[in-house]
Amino acid sequence: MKYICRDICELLTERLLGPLAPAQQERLERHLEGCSACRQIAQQLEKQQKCLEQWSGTMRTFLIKKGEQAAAAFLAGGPIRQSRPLRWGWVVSAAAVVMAGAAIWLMQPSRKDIDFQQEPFKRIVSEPAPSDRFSAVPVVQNQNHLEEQTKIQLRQAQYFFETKNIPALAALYRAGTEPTRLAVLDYLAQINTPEARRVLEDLQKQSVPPPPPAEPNQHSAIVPRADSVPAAAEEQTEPPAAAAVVPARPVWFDPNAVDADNWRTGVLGIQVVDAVTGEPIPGAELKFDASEGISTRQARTNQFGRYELTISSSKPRFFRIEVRKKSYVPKLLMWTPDIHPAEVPLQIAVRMSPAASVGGLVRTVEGEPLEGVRIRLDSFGTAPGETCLLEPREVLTDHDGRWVFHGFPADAKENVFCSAVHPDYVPVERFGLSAAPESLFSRQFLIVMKRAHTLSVRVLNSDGNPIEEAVVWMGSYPALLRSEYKTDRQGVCKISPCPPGTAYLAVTAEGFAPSGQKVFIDDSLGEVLFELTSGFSAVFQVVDSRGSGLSGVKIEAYEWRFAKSASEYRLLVPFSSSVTDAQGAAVLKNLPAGKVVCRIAKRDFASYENFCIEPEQSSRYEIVLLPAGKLTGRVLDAQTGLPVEPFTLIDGYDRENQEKPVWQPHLRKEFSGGRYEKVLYRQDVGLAVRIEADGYLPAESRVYWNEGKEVAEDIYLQKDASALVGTVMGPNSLPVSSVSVYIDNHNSHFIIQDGRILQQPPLTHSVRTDSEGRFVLSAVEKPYRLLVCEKDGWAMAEDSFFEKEPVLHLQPWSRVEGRFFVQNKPSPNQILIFSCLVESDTLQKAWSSSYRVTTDAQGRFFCLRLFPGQITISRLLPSDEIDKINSVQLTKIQVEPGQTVFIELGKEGRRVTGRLRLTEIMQGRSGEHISLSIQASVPQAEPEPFPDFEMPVDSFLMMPEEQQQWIADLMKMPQMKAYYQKTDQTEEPFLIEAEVRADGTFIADGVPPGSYILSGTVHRPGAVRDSVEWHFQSLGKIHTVFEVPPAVSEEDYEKPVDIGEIAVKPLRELTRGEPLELPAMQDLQEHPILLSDYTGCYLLVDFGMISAPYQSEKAFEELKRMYRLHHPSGRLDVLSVCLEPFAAYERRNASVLKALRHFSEKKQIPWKIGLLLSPLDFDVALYRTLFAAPGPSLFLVDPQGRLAAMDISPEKLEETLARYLPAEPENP
Amino acid sequence: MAAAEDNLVQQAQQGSRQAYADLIRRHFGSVYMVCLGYLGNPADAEDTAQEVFLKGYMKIRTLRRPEQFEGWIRRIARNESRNFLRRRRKETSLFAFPAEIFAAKDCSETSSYEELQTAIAAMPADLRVPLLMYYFDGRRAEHVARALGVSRLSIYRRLKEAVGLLGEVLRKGREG
Repeated sequence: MKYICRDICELLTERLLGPLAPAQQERLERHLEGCSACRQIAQQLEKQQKCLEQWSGTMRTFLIKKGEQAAAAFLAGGPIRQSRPLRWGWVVSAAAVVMAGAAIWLMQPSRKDIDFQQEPFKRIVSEPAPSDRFSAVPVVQNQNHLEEQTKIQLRQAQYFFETKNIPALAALYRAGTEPTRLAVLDYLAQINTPEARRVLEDLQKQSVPPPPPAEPNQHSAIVPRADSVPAAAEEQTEPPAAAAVVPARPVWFDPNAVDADNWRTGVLGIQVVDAVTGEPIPGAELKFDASEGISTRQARTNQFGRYELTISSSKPRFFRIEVRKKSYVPKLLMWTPDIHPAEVPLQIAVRMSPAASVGGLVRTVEGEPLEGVRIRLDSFGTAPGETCLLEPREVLTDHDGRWVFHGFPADAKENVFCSAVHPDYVPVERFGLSAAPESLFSRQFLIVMKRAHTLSVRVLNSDGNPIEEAVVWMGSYPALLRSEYKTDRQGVCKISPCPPGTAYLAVTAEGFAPSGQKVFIDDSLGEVLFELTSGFSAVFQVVDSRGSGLSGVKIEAYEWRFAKSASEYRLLVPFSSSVTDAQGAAVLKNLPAGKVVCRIAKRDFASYENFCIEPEQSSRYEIVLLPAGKLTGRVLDAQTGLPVEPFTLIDGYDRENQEKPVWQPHLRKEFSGGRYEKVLYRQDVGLAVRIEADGYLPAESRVYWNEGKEVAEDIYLQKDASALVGTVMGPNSLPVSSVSVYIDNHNSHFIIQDGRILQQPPLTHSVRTDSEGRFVLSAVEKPYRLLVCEKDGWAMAEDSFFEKEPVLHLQPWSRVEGRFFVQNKPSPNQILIFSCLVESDTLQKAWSSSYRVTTDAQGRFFCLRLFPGQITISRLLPSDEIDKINSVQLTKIQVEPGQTVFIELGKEGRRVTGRLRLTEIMQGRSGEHISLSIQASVPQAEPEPFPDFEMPVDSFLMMPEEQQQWIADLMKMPQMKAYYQKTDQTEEPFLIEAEVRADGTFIADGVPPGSYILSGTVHRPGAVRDSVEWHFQSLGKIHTVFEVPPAVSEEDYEKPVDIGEIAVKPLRELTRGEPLELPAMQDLQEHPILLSDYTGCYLLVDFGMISAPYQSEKAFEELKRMYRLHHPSGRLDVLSVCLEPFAAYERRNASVLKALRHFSEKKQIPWKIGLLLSPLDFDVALYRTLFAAPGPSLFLVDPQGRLAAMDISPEKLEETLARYLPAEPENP
Repeated sequence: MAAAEDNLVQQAQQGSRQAYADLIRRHFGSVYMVCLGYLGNPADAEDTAQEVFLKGYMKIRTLRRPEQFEGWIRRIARNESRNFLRRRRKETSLFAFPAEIFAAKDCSETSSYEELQTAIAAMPADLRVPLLMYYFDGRRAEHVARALGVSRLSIYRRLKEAVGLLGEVLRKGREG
C-alpha cells in the first residue's frame, strides 16, 4: 500500500492516541523525512497534544478539589455551592431512616458476614476536606453535632442491648434522635423477653415525638434539654418530675467557668453531669479520699446531680474523688503533688462519659483466630488529673478470636492503648497498640500475634562445670536488659515466651566476669552456651588535689562494651563495685574484657559518671577527685544594672568538651533575690546556665568545668525590645482562632506527625490565637521562624517575611491514600512511613514531618495531613529489635497543596532470598555483624572530571592549619562547588535492607522487578582500633548484581526469587613475609615506579609523611639520617608515597607536580617521591593496613620484595633497621 | 482499587453515607467531565454532577452489580445531562472550561488554552464528550466506552475523529 499524505495524517492522529505498530511507525517516519507539509502538521499536532495534556493535568487537580468539596458537602448535608438551593438536606433527612436501619443491621454482632474485611475508609470520610473546614456554616456544624449525638446514642443503645438493660433502652428511646429510636425498637424486639416485649409495646403506643433538632444558630456543643429523661435509665425509681424541676440552667454552676470569687470556704461543691448532653446525673456514687480535713468517705449526688462536701481544710495536699454510676464509665479525679499538682478547686465538675461496648479481633500471623488472649485496655486521662477507669482490667478472646469490652466511653475521641497477652505468643504489651475509637466501636480493631519461642541458656565455668544461680539478662536492645531468669543446678535456664528475632543476652554470676551474646531466635536455635571466666581486675588509686589518698570513694562498674567501640553491644548491668580504703585504693574484680564504664563518686566531690577503663590492657588507674565547685552570680538588667527577679534558670550540659551545651529544659528552676547558684557536681560534664526572665531576652553563660572552687559570673539581661504581633488566617481569608503559633530561633527540630507538633522543642515558645486570630509573642533574636500546624492547615513564616506582612496564611494539608501490596496481595497491618522535609532558606535545619500508618485489612492506607512537596514513602519491616529500624523506601511522590493523591504501592514487589558463603571468612566464629542491602542498579554515569585547580607551590610545606585553610578556600571556588554539587546530586537509591541469619541466608521483601546490586559488609566487632571504626574492621565484602523478573502468574508471587549462593570477598590486612604489591605510581619526572627497581636492597616505603596531617620535622630528619647511614652502602633505599588526595586523582595537574618538586628541593629529599595513579581503594590489603595505623606509616620491604616489617613508627626506625641491617664491620 | 470500590458500593447500599462520600470523591471528576462535555458550561455541569450523585444515592440500592458503579454513575450523568439540555431546549452556544483552571499557576500558555477551548466548543457533542473524558480519564478508551455505553471500537473512531477535527480547527484558526 502506498501512503499518501492523507493516510499519513490519519497515522499522525492515531499516534496521538497510542503507540503505533512498529511497521506503521517506521513508514510514518520515512514519509515525514521527505514531506515538509506533513512534518508541519505533525509538529502542530504535537503542540496541540502537549496543550491538551497540560490542560488535563490542571483539570485533574481542579476536579479532585471539586470532588472533595462535593463529598464534604454531601456528608454535611449542606449545599455544595452556596449560590444554589440546599439540595443534600432533604435527601439526607429522608435517608436518615434508611441509615438508622442500616446502622442497626451493621452493628448486630451476630451477623456472620461482618468481618474485618469490611472496614471502610472511615477516618477519611469522617473528616471533611481541609478547604471546607474554614467555611463550614453553623448549619453544618449543628448537623454534625446532631450526627455526633446520634452516633453516641447508637453506641449506648448497643451497649444496653448487649448488657440487656431494658429500662435504659426505654429511657434512651425517650431521649434519642430518630435513628436511635429505630435502633432501640429493633434491639428490644431482638431481646424478646416478656419485659422487652412489654416495653416495646408501651413505646410503640406512646409514640413520643422525637426531640426537636438543635436550633440552627445555636453554636453550643451541649444542648441541654429540660424535658428529656437522663440517659442513665435505671433511675426509674426517681420520679421523672425530678428532671422537670431542673431549672432552665440545669447545672448548679457552669462547669466551663468556675468562678473563683464565689467560693464558700469549707464546702466543696461537686456537680456530676453527662459528658455528652451536659445533663446532671442524680444518684451517682461518690468516694472521697484526702490527706486531711474530710470525715465523709462515701456519698451520692442528689436529684440535681450534685453534692456538697464539708471539708475542714480548704487546701488539702492530696484529694481524690471516684465517681461511679451504672451505664457510665467510672471516673477518677485526683489532685496530688506529683500527678496533678494544681490546687483543689472548691467547685468540681465531673463529666461522666456514657458507657458503650467496644471490641476487636485477635489473629495469628497466619490469619487464624486466637482464643484465650488476655486483652487489656489502658485507662486514659481526659483532662489533667482526670482518668476514665476502664473496668474490668482484662477480657479474654473467644474461639473466634473476638473480644468485647463493656464500659468504654461512648464519646471517646482519643486513641487508647490496647495490649494482648497469650502464653504461647509474643505479647503485644509494653506500650501496646494504639487503637482508634472508631475501630474499637466497629469491633474491627485487629491485633496480629506472632508465635513465641522458648530459649534455653546453659552457663558453665571454664572447667565445663555448671554455674548455679547465674542471672541471665535478656532484651531486644542491649541497654534494656531485664533480669528475670536464674540458672538451675545444671546451669540451665529456660526463657519463654521469646519473640522470634534478634535478642541480646548477658550473664552475670558471683565470682565471674559477665559475658554477652547476640542471638537470633527461631526454630533452628539450639541451646545457647556461656562459658564464664574469672575475668580481669583493675586497681584504682583515688587521690585529692594534693595527692593524698581519698577513702570512702565508691567505684562501680555498670556498663560494659564487650565489643569495644561497637555501641550495639553496650550492656547496662551492674556487675562489680568497690570502695576505696584509707589509702585511697580499691580493686574491681571480675571485669570482662573490652571497655568498662565506671562511676566514681564521693559525697561533696565532683563525680565521674562515665569513666572508661580497659582492664584487659591496663590494670592500674589513678584518679584525682576534686571537691564539687560552685557557679554563682547575679542576674542584672543590662541597662540599669539592677537585679532582675524572678528569673528561670535552665541547665546546659557539655559532655564532649564541645563548648556547646545541650540545654535541659526539664531542669528549669525559678530563682528570686537576683542571684543564682549551681553546684558543679560532675567532673566529666561541663555546665552552662541559661537565664530567662519576663520582659527580657534570654541570656546564656559559657561552659564551666569543675575546678574544685567557686566561680562567679554575673549575667546581664537585655530588655525585650518589641513583641511580635500577627494574625493567623484561614484559606478563606478569615482569621482562625485558638491555634498555636510556635516561634523558634534555635534551629529546633520540630517533629510533626499527622499535622501535629508532637512535642514542643525546648527553647521554643508558643501562644494561642485569640478569637480574632491574633497572637502576641515576645521578641526573640533573629533569625526566627513562626510555625502553625493545625488539623486544618499549616503556615510557616521566617522573620524577613513576617516583618513585611504579619499574617500567617494557613495552607491546606496534602493527602495521600491508596493500597499496599505484598506479593501482589493487599497486605494488612503493614506500617508505612510517609516523610517529608520542609526546607528552610535561612535556618539550617529543616523540619521533618512524618506520618506512620498501618494498612487496614484490605491493605488500604491514608494520610490526611502531609506537607506538600516531595514525600518519601517507606515501609517499616517487622523487626524485633527496637534499635534497628529496617525500612524499605518504596517511592517518592510529589504532592501539591490541598491535593489528594491515590497510589498503589508494592504491587509488583517480590521476595528475594539467597545465601552468603561465609565460611571462608567467619572461621567458625560468631557474633559478626553483617549489613546487607539491595539497591537499584542505575547505569554508572561517566565519572565527573575533577575540576582544574592551582595548587600553591609551597602547599606541601604549609603547616597543617594553613593547608586546611587552602583546601577550604579551594572548596569555595565555583568550579569546585559545581563539581561537588554534581557528584553529590546522585539520587538516593532505592534501598532495601535484607535480614541476614547466622547461617548466611538472607531475605528481602517487596523488591519490584528490575536490576539490582546486592552489597554489604561483614564486620567483626572487637577488632577495632580507637577512632577508626567500621570501615577498617570489615572482614568481607559482598557485591553482586542480580535481576528480579516480573511475576507472570499469581503463583510467581508465592515463590521467592532465589539468587543463590553469593561469595563474600574476604578483606584482610597485610601480614609479614608476604610479597608487597606497590600500587601504580609515577615519580616526579613522570616515570613509572616499580618495586623491581629496588630489588637487591631493603626498601623503606614511607606513606603519608608528605601529607600534611602527619608531617613531622623530627620524623623526617630521622628518615633522612637513616637514609644517609645505609644508602651509600646500597643496602637501603627510601620511597615516599604522596597520599595527597588531589595529587592522587589529578597527577596530571601541573601545579601539583610543581608543588611536589618544590617540596622535594626545599627539603632536599634525595629519594624518589611517588604519586598514585589511581584513587585509594580501601578493599586493598595495603591500604587497609595503612589506614589502621594512627600516624605516618613506614613499611620495610626486604631485598626479595617481601614485607619485613610494618607500621614502623619513626621513633623505632633506627631500632628496627638495626635488626635487618647490622652495622657493617669496619673496614680495616 | 476495584475490590475496595465494590466494598464502598456495598456499604453505601447499606446506608453508609461516608462510603458514598468516598465514591463521590472518586468519581466526581469523571461525572463532571461528562456533564461538561454535554452542557459546555461549568456551572451547569457542576449542578448536574450534584444532581447525578443525588440520584445515584437514591437509587444505589437498585445497582445489582457493585463493580459496575463507575459505568452506572456515568450513564446517569449522560442521561441527566441530556435531560438538562432537553429542558433547556437548546444546546449551549459557547463551550467554556471552568475559570479556575486558568487561574492555576502552571497554566502558562493561556492563549493556546483559549484556542483549544474554542476548538473544543466548535465540536459536536458526540465527539466532544469522548474527547474530554479520554483526556481526563487517564487516557483509557475502554473507560470512556463503558461510561457512554458504546463499543470500544466506536470510541476509538470518535476519538480519532475528534483529535483530527481539533487539529483542523486549530490549523484553520491560525491560517485565518
